Amino acid sequence: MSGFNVIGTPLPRVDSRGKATGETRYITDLSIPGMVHGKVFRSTHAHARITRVDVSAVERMPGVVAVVTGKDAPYVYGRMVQDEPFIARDVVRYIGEPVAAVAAVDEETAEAALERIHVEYEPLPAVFDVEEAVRPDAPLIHPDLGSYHKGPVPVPVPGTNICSTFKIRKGDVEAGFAQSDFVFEHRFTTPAIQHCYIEPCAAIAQVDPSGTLTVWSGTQGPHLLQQLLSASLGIPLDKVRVIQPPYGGGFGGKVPMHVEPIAVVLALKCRRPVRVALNREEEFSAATTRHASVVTIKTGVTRDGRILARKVDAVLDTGAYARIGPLVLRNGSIAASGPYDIPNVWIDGACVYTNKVPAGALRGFGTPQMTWAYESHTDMIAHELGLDPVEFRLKNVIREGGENANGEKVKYVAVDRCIELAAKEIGWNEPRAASPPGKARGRGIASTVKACAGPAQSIVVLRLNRNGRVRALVSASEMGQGLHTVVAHIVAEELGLRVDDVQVTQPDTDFTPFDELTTASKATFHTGNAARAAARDLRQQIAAMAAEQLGVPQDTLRFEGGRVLTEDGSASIAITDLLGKGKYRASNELVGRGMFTSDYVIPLDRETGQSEAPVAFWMYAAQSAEVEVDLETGDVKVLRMAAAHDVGQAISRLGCEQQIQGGVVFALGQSLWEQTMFRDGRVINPTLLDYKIFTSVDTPEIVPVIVEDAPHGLGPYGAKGLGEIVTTPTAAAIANAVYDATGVRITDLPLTSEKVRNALKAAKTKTTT
Amino acid sequence: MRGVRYSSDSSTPVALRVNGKTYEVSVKPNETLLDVLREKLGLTGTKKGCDLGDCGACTVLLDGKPVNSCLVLAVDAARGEVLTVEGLAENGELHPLQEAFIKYGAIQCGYCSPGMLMSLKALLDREPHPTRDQVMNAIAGNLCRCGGYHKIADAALAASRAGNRGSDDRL
Repeated sequence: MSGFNVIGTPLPRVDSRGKATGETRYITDLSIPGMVHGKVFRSTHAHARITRVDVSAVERMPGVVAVVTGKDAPYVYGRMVQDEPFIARDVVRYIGEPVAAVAAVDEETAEAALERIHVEYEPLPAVFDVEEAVRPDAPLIHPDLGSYHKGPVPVPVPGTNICSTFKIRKGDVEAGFAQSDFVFEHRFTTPAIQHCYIEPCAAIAQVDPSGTLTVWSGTQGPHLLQQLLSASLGIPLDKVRVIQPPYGGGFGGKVPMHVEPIAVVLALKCRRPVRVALNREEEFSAATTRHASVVTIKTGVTRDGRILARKVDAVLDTGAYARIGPLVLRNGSIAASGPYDIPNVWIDGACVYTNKVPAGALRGFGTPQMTWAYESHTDMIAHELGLDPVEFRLKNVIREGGENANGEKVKYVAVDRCIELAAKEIGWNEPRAASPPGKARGRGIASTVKACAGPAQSIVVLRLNRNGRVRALVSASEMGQGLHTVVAHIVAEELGLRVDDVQVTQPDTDFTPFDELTTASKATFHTGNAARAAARDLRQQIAAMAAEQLGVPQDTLRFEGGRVLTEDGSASIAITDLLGKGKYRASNELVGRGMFTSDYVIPLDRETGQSEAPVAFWMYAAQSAEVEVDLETGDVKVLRMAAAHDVGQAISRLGCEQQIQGGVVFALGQSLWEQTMFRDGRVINPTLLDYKIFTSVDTPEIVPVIVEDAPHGLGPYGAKGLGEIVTTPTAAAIANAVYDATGVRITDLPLTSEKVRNALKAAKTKTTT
Repeated sequence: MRGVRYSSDSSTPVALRVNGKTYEVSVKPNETLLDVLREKLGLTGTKKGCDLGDCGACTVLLDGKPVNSCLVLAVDAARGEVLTVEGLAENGELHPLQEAFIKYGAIQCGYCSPGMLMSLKALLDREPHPTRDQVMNAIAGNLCRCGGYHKIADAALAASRAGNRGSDDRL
């Protein structure tokens, strides 16, 4: 693609200078006059009735300014299901749940105060496993599930631990199996994992004497947080102000309210600004995980490799509270049959409560779990049929005009191209070098599809001032993914400015316009479209002024280098010579407004999951891996990854590369090592030492391939989203490579050396006996 | 839950040398260099990611060597020269590493960046012509969850080349 000035170029990010100098102020770098520090007393029981909370010893402690318990906080929240108290009142449902909190002059005093809180419990039967939790005799975690207030997404089953269900029914899956030459069925699991953003969650709450609540929070959804706090506390929306400073990574983990409810309740009590910052142990044991999953998948194929039917049963472990679980279930299950054109599809999904720290969105909204299952399964079928895994995929992959599991005729699809390029980059058809002694090398591939569900609204306001620079008021949230750079590129492109001429503001619900939350890879598409519309609005206003000055019709004008030019370039005027000059001498500022709403989304049929427009847009990708397995230790070393991503159109090319390379690194750890380990509901590896994420020396070569063959008709300049799908196919590509290398198939993530070694030993025993 | 640190009200006056300046501060015997930098000196560029020495976000140089400032007691740091990210730029000119971090896309969320920069500054001071492996080893104790290790290495190698060509060369 060309014809652009800045779109798709590898310019630096707009937010990097302040981050390189240390000037960028994150939440815990802020200090509000009078601010005190809050700490949380957490449940040590997985499921228990609270019989006594004694905070009397704390109230008298020097340095303590407030102590609160569930009695001080008769509030519940939940965007999906209103099932979660700010602070537990009668019952605790997971180890780590807040039971009380203290605000003190410093963190040390607050921590010391926690030691003097005394709580008595009457233990209740607890359940930690989803398969046990759905049995009829399982203890009920939410006996009142049927009476909770809920939003439109969840389909709970009252009287059970099933928080939500989801289904797709397309064609006749049993008839499809009957027509098939072979039917294969496999079961896959994934563990709970952690976001591990490097900046722990933090928020500051302040209550004005007039009752206005101000919250500074590193949240992915300032306007959503405003709505949730307003609804829970019964304070009018305009009396809640959320300010979101820059923050150090989100990955879905800064959607839930981990710290805000505590800070707010403490601030209401002591009437001083209260900061609550989680420590790393709390991040692991009392924040949010990715849903552990159990996915059973059954596929019918013809002898020559055409998939006729696929049935998926997916169960997600949502922990003690719903949070965004029902949406994770829906958005993951919606594409659980994969990026394939299959005439008969049956999908059943369930999101199940257990007595563990709640699960939520983690870079992929259920798609990583589903892709792990269907891409391992697809590979297993290819091997059973004696077909090349790439050819088998290309034979069934969904293409332009094909029909997906929702019965939608899809457009703007380049997943076939992604598979071809990922295969090519890893040298799929090239002869392989001999493996070193004691090692086995192999290659694997996996493709994936992810939904950005919608509908969602994004609004952008641009203020052009007389020095020719634009301030973009945006509430979509920059968490490291590069959104501010995307907005700056788009505005600069439309107005012929330099990217550096566009400053993007941090969200502040008092001033920046609505954008519900930044998740689901939606911001480049939605906020990007709004930014383009706002820039075009501004462009029209400038053009009207310039046309008058230049004496030409405004629709012939071009914008370039901060100037407005006539069609042939013979005459021009600088934007800075329009505002505040001559006839416009009193005009100091122009304001452009833009809005985008993906309201073309048609809700899925509740019984069949069918819809002609089920989502805002789809994303596609394929990744390939070359691995070396140590046959003695089972250690899997990833030598090289190629990641081909259908971005539609790159807006910031550097940003796309960062997301692709970084996303693969993120997913490599989850493929090989990462798991939040529980013993009786307690997280037993709650540090970055015991829960190891990928480091620089673990990282292999990663080749990013930006695929721009299928620009999206509704995306800005054709762009789609990218942030999550970079992580979804990695694990299956690696497992498939491990199989290629060793003949050993691992179906439970992660691919630890212990697991691979045991499988190698079992395989050896099998062949020798 | 995490244990409470040894608490003491007996503060001691110390002179901390940070970024070439001397700060007279009163610190408690259990206060870390990280907390004193951030809370008492207002040098918030150094970040707290785990407070346990696992993530490297709080890396500063103590007498030229990278240390996790959450594991160093402020009273112990008083014997040496501390350099933080705020001390990298000189007279308003960014350090070549900072320039390269911006140009080569080494920064995403930015929370690990100050620590990364300090680990790499120590490397380039010690080894002006590092290999890619040496760069990767130098930041092995600095976690980046955005996963930007390759671009960070690209930037460090570019900064090393710029340094070799002399200070007049632009990156």
